[in-house]
Amino acid sequence: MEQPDYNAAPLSLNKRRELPLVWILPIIAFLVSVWLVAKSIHEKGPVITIRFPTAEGLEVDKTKIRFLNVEIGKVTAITIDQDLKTILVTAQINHSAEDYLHEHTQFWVVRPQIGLGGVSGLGTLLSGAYIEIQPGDGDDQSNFTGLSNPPVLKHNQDGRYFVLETDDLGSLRPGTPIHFHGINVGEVLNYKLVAEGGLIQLSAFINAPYHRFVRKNTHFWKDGGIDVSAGAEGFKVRTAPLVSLLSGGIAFEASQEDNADSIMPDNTAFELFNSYEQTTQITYQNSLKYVMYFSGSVRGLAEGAPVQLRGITIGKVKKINVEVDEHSTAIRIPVLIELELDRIKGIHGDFHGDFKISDHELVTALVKKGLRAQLQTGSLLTGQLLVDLDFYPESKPREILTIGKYPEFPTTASSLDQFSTSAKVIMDKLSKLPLNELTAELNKTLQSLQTTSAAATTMLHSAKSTLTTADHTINKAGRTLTSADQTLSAAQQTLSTLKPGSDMQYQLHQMLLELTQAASSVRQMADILEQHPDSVIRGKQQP
Amino acid sequence: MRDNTLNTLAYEACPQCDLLLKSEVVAVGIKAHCPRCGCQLYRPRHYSVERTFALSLTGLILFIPVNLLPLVGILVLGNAQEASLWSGVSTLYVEGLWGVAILVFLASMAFPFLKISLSLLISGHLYFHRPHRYLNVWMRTLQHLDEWAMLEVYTLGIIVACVKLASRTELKFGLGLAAFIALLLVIVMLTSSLDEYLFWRRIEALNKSNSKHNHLNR
Amino acid sequence: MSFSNKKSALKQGLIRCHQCGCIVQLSAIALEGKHLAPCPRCDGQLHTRLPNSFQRTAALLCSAFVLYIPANVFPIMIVTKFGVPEQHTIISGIISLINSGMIPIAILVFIASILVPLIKMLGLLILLWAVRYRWQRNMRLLALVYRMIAFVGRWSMLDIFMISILVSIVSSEALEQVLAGSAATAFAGVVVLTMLATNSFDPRLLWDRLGAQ
Repeated sequence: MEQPDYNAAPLSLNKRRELPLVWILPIIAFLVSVWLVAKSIHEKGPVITIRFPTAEGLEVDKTKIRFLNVEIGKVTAITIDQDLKTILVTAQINHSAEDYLHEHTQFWVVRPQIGLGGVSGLGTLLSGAYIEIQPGDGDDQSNFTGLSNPPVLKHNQDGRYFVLETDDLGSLRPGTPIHFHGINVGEVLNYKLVAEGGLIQLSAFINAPYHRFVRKNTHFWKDGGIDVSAGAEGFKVRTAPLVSLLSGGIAFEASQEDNADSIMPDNTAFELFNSYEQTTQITYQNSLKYVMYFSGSVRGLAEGAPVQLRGITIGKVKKINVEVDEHSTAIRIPVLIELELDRIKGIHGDFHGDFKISDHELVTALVKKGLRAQLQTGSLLTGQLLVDLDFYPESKPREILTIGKYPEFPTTASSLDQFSTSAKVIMDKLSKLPLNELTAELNKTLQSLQTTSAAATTMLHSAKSTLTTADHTINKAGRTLTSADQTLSAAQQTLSTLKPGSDMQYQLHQMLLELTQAASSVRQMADILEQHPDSVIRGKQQP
Repeated sequence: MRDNTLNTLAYEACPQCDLLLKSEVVAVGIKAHCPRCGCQLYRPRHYSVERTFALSLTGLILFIPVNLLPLVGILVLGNAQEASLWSGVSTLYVEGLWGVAILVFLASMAFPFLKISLSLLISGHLYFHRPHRYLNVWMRTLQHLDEWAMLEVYTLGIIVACVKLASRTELKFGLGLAAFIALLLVIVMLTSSLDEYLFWRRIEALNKSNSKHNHLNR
Repeated sequence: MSFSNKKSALKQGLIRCHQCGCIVQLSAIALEGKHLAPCPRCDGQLHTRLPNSFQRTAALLCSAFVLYIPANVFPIMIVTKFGVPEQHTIISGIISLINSGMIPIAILVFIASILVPLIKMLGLLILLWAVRYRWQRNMRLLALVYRMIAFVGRWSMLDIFMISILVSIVSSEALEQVLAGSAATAFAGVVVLTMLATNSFDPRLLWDRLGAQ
């Protein structure tokens, strides 16, 4: 068949199996994709689930998980749990954050919060809520229960935990500030009702340098605002920092008696007094009880009224009873008092040791020298009485007799009528005095309180000092009854401004209203931003 | 007449070096190369016509989702932005780069479509032994536009684009991408299963029998 | 193996149709004016060799070279972030990929957009040189170069496709926008011109002079 004149070469046949060249690109594409997938799987960390009570502000693929504001993961799914009460957030954690996931790791949602203590999470207005993580220790874990509220203590701060015990929680909440001389030094972390009931234990945290001031005789008290107390000792006005004024707070004070050695360890329990006043009326455990019989009326003498030795409180009235002698139908009024002789310091060192005996002996010796009890008017305004002890050497000597349960302390008659008449005169004078100057001044002070909180605090401090001087002046007036007029009226003014419906109340209310309005407009802005994120750049679009 | 038979069947010439070669029937799995320049002459395939027919039919079906569904998308502030084959072309065109737009259109849409439909037409006619007067025109066109259909390269383009986007935003892969990958595999298989040497011979045989048939009829 | 005794088809009066591959006797083909009659099998135009192969290839290659400069100098992509335009050339795109740790991708893009066009143009230049100066050595290597150029030619479209995807996906938002730069057209031109040049080059010219001396 073949034509011989054609010079043709044979084919070169190849049996080698090889992939056709067209496959090169798909194979490259495949390899590259495999590499990318492997890389992304390698960089992807574990998937965890967190249980939250609400999904408010959480969005799939948008909500991030952050630690110290560094993004370490994001929410990939939100489902409702089978119990139909909680939601389950599934989150993808970055490879680098794998080590944070342990049993005690905490999660909580950070949302914008505007509170009296300040504004927090403001950044979330634009970015949306995010989930914050607080790495903990323990075993590895991938299912967590989120906190419904952010923990007050975010990260490992230096300081100490203490337990405060109170019977009334009042306005105290986790996050309530604790002040030390007006400095915010700590917070209430949480509270719990002790199993037996009747006692609430607050867990409090005091930041690092200040925990050294929590010592053996440190007193904590509820710093709930302006304390105005009127008692036998006159008026007292104390103010707390503005935040505590509005939302309640706790303050403490180191005692002079303690030195730096008596710093208390972690979790020491302290009593939380209801007011600053209470902290000063500490019950001394070593007390002597006496009964006193006064001849006249004891109107104005209340239980708890001070027993003073030459004007210094050394005890208090425990109980006032009425007794009638069935035979003679004579009425007498036993007043049970308690003397805290620890308050008196011995000159030649402490008379401790067998103090009970020596205390009683001391009182007996003093009575022999003429020490008598007398009812005296503590405050002319309130008409409160106190028990004053003083020496009346001319009085006939008496022994301390123990007839009933308690030894009887001798008394002398008081000249109360005299005092009450002169008090009336003073009151008349007071009502005639012009009060305008001081009213204006105080108004100014209180107006500046609402404009700037910082200024307000200082102003209140200055008001406090003014009023303390007023206090002193009144005290003086108690004895000299001459120059108390101006200051007393100022104190009255203060009282009236604090009444419901007064100026200051109204202005505080206004301020809170404005805060509410500001918060709602911020929320509106957040809504707009949510729907039109580009409006940050383009501005609000006209409809 | 005698020369004609000899020329077409008994001899080959290397397309690259024009060496005259003796024709040989090569079994499946064996590749025939030119002994001088090493160029691959032909590589017979199993059921080339049948496979081509099936694959091109599949490809034509896949072409619909590939062009209708978005390939990849990104999430920007919660809004999805998606890209399809056509959106790339139209955006380029709108931006004024009509030259590039036309090129992308041809390479990623028009030529692949033509390639698949021509393969379907030719293999269909061969499969059912139906002669057609334009069979050789189609076959020539198919050969010419073969290298201008660049779906495989487009795949790499998608991958690189995804990598560039992934560092910035969240990527979303749609069903369109799956269809695209399927289409890519089909096209590559189609290319490797289409045995041009065989096709031309079958077309020639078909045309000859057709003309004979016509001749007899006449 | 020596092929000096073997002769090309053309020298023995035979033409291979470059479309359907059938062998036609030159003597059996009638001349239709200047051209040969169509191929008896595929009805396509028969050529002994591709017409004006050398000139066409050289012209297309020159244009490709010219376009290659703007393609690399001008930005191929302009990314506008928050209103600040940032221009990316082909090379800066690769560098940014390296910086983000995507080294395999960077290599891929480097091969497709820088190496392949260069290899194509330099390879074609060498082939033209070999035809012009009648090189008689390393013929198999030259044939391999030709096949590689023809195969690899389309890969450079990668960058163009990538831009077309990026442009459409990151275009209609306010914060970020990707625009194709002027280099995109130039680069697409380089790819098309080099592909056309490869197609118009007839490798048989390399072998025609073999043993002619």
